Amino acid sequence: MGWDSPSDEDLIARYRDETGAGSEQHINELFGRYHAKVARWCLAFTNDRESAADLAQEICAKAYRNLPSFRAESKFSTWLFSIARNHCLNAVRARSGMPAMESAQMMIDELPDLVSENPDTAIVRKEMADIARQLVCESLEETERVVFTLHFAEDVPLDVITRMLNLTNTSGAKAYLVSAKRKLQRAVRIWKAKAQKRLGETNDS
Amino acid sequence: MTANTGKLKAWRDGVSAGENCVPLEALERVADGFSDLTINQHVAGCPHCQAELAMLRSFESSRPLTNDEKTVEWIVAHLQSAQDMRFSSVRSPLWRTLLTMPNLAGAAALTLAISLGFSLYVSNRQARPVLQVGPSGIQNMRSGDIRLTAPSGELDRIPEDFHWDPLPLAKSYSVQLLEVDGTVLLSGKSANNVFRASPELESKIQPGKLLLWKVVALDGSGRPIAQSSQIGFRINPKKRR
Ligand SMILES: [Zn+2]
Repeated sequence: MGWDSPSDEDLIARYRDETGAGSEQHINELFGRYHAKVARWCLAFTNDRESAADLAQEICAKAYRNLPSFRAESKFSTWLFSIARNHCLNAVRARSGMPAMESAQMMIDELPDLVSENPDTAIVRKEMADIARQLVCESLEETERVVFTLHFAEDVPLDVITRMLNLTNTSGAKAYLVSAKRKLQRAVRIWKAKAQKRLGETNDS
Repeated sequence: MTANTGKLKAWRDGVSAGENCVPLEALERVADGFSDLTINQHVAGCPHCQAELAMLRSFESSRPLTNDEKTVEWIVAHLQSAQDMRFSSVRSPLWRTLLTMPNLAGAAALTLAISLGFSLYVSNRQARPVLQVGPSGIQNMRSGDIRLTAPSGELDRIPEDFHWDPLPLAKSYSVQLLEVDGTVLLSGKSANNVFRASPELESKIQPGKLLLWKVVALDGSGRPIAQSSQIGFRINPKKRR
């Protein structure tokens, strides 16, 4: 008789090896270990305990259903994260027509223009994307980059980002986005000036 | 396409996943501090992978959201009770009916939805026999089938033994000590209805913190045949031995 704490992988192996109700016990222990993580994650997305509990419940259920597909290529916690991530991002996108997203429109209005016209060919689009990535990496601090990416590429609302990244400054993610845009405006100005200069040199020669 | 959509597209494309982006398994290694030059170089130049890494770290981190720990505990308690209810034999049509009833609003409906929802989701597993008692067939295992006697409530010292009422059919018992969020602190087995705690227990117990414990009775082949509810105890920080 003694205390022991099996690893997540041990629990999954026991669950798969055994049949009957005994196997459920291992899986209950496994999921119990992650309830708090899933709850915190969902609460960051909803900021409301009832809908966070709904989301958390759906995530656990989905993970349970998909457990046979878990191949241990990552840790169980990373695998569970991928389910929680996708589930909550989809839930947020499903609500994207709601008033909370009006602020996002304002933010887009203030984004610097990389090109004067819409890029209409795949090559131009790819070039513009490469330039955008380079400017984001070179001009922004790490948190600004993460906030900018989560907001514009993943459609995550700013209040969610604030809670998810545990940003404790007064205006949270918004402050990082405002400073990111200011830095990008400057970076775009410099980049355009350099591009003009290069163009002039090419024309002269 | 409006000017704004075009403008957003360029920035969005720039920070979205590209063909060289690394899978989560690789980001997990970065988060764990393993060094791989190719992966590290990619992540350093990729806002998308940096954002994924930040989300993974946020999920893995156990740091509490400001003032939200009580809410987290509330959600965890609901997830736990949903899980504990998994052996109940609720059928899905009833669950669906309850969920769509407009007069079952608010917390009551939520509690029902969560508790019954898990049972529905695990219905494939439930279809297997849960408990076989003699030749007569299958019986469901319910939480509360074993009565825990001690420890419980506010204690002056760390308990040396855990006691519960014996169950005639049980050949052994599995005991678990848990945090309120369901994290298993310690687990062990006993051949009778007393569990003697090892000295290790003392290092795991934080005075003032509520802990839960539960017992599952096992048959001769190690299969669960009954379980207790969870009961809590707390060591009074001023009177700890
Ligand atoms: Zn990448």
